[in-house]
Amino acid sequence: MSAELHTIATLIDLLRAHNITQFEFVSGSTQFKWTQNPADQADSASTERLADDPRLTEVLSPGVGMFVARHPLMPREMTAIGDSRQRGECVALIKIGMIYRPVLAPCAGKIVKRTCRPGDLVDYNRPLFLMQPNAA
Amino acid sequence: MIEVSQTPPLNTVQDLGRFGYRRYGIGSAGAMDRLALAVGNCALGNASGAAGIEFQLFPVMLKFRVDTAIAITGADCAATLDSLPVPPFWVTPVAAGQTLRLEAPKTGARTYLCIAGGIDVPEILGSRSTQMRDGFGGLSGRQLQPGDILPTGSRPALRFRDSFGFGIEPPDSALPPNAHDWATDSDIVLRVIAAAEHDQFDSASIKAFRTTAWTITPQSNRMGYRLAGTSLKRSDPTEMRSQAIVQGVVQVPPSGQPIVQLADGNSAGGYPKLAYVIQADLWRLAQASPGRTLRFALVSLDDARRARAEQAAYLKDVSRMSGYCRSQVQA
Amino acid sequence: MSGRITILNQPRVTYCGDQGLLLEAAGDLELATQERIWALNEQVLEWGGVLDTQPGMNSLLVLLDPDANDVTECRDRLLRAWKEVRSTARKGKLLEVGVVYGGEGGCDLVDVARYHRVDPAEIVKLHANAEYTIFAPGVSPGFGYLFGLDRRLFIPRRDVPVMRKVGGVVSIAGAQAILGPPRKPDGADLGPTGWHVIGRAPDVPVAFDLARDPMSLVSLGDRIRFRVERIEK
Repeated sequence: MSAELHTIATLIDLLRAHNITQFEFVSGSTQFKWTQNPADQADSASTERLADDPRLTEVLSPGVGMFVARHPLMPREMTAIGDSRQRGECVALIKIGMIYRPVLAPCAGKIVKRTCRPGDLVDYNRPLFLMQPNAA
Repeated sequence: MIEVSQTPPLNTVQDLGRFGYRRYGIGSAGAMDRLALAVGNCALGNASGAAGIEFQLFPVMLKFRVDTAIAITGADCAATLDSLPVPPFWVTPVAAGQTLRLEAPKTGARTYLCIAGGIDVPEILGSRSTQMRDGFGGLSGRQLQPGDILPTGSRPALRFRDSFGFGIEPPDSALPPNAHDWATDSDIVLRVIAAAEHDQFDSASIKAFRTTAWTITPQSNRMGYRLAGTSLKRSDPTEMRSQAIVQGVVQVPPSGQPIVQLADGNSAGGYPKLAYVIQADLWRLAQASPGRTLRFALVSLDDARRARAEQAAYLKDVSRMSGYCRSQVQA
Repeated sequence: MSGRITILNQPRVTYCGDQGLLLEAAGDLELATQERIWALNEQVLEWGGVLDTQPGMNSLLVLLDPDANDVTECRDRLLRAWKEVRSTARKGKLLEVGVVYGGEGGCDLVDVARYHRVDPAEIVKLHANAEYTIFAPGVSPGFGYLFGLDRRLFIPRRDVPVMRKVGGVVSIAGAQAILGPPRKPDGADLGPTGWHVIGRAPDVPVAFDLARDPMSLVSLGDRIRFRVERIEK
C-alpha cells in the first residue's frame, strides 16, 4: 500500500473519531471526497445488539486496516474464544501496508466472541471482539 | 540506560559490523541477522547501524532505567513488558522502571533489541560490535553478564500514535520466499553463487550440493555453521594457499562436510570454496537453529543484486511507514 | 590431501561474496609476485568505494561498496590493474625470535620428521635456517602468513583439525609457516588447528595492541628469523 493510501486511511480515522460523516477537500489538482456509508452503520447495528448486553464490553479497532488474528511469526492466533486477557493487552492486529497497529483489551476479562474475520477490512471503532469483564 | 538483570552467555552488543581492518586479521563480527537489526533501528528512527543487543540464549530480563523506546526484532521470543505480551518485530515506548523479559524462541534463533539512541558503548575501530575472540568492542569485548549496565545514546523523546506501539511486517512475510525444486516447507532455502573452486568438485558432488537437504549440526555458532549431509569431493584435491575468507562462503574441508563461515569466522583460511551464500540471505541462515535443514539454490549475480535492492527497498519502507507511527517530540 | 599445491597458469578474478572480488596470481608463491600483490593492494585502496582489502598468499580480496561500485565492472578493472602493476620492492624490518623446538610445546615435530623420513634435528635446521617474509594477514591479529619455508619441509594440512595450546606457536602447513602471537591473559588455552606445531617461541612479542601506535608491530614485507634455543624430546 502506498504512502498516499496510508495518509487517506489515517484521515478517515480522524474523520470518524470526530463523528464527521461527510468530507471534501480540493487543492489544485488534488481532490478528495468521503462520505460515510449509511450501510456501514446498519452492519455495526447487528453487533451493537450483542453489545447491548450490558455485561459485555466491545473491543474496538484503533483505525482503518485489515484485521489480523495471527502474527505471521506466531504459530497461533493471538486470542481464542475463552481466553482471559489483562487490560491493555494486545489481542489482535490491524494491518495497514507493512505496519501493524495493536488492538487492545479495554478491560481485564474473557473474550466471548469475535465479531469479524481475519482479512476483513475494518473501520475505526469497528467492534472486533466482545469481552466479559472480570467482576469488579 | 539498560540494566541486564538476567542473562545466559552468548549475548552481545553488535552493530552492522567492523569493516576496513582485515589487514590486521580483524574480522567483521556484527549482528548475524543484520536485517533484523536494521529493521529495529530504522523503525525507531536510529541510523540503521546503531548498536543493539543480539540475544542467542534465553531467558533474558532487562530493566529500563529511563523513559525510552525500543524495538524487538528477529525471532519471536514471547517478549513481555511488565508481564504484558509484546508481539515480534514490535516497536514500543518504555517507561523508567519497566522490565522486559525474553524467552527462548520456538522458531528462529536470534532476537535483537534496538533502543532509541542506540547502545552507547565506545566505538573501537569504527564499530561497536563485540569482537569476542580478540576481546574488544561492544561491552568491554565480552558477552553480557547479569548486573551489566548498558548506556544508551541520547535522543529527543519519541511520541507514539498508539501507546502500545506498532509492529513491522517481518522480512519472513514481506520479502518473497526463495524457490527450490526439492525443498519442503520446513527447509530453509539459501541462494548461493558458485565460488572459485566450484568446478574442481566432481559432478556428483556439485549435484549433491544443490539437491541435498543439509542438516545444521550442533557445532554451529557465530563463527560458522557446520552442515551434515552427502560427502563432497573434488576430482583433483590439491592443497590451497591461505587467502581471505568472506562471510557466507561455503568451504569444504577434507571431511567433505561443508562449513558456512559467518560473522565471527576466521578472516583467512585455505579450504576450497564451493559457493557463497548471497548477502541478502545471510539473515535466513542466522535464524536457522541446529537441527533445521537447508537447501542451496544456485543463482546469478543479477539475482543477488535484485535481492539486495529488494531489501534496501524494504528497509526504506520501514523507515518511511514507521514515521507515521512515531514522531520526535520537539524540544 | 595429495600435498600438491594449487598453481594457476593464468591469473584470474572470481566473485567472492556478492560484494567481493578475489584476484589469484599465476604461478608459484614468490616474493616478486607477492610484492606486486602489495602494490596492487595500495592502488585498490585509492579507488574509492572499497570497503576493505586483504592480501592472501598469491591473492588479493577486494570488498566493494555495492552502492558505489559495480562488482562486474571492477572485476575487469582489477584484472587489468594486476597485469600492469609494478612492485615497489620493500625491505621490511627484521624480527628475531628464540624457539624451543619439539617437546610438549612443539609436539608435532616428531611426526613431521617421520613424514619426511629425517631426524627432528634436520627439520629444525631447515626451519631455522630460512628467513621468512610476512606475506599476508593471518586469521587473527598476529604475524600473518609467512613465506620462505624450505621446500623440503612442505607437508599437507591436516585432514582433521587438532587441539593445540596457543601462545607463540611455531607451525607449518602446505608451503607456509606461521608464528603465533602470545596467549592472551584471559584467552583460551587451546585452539583447533590444521597445522603442524613444531615449536614454541616463549618470548614472542605482542603483535597487535589497540592502545599502541602503530597498533601492529609488523607490516607486510617484514621478515622473521627463528633462533634455535634448544630442541626438546
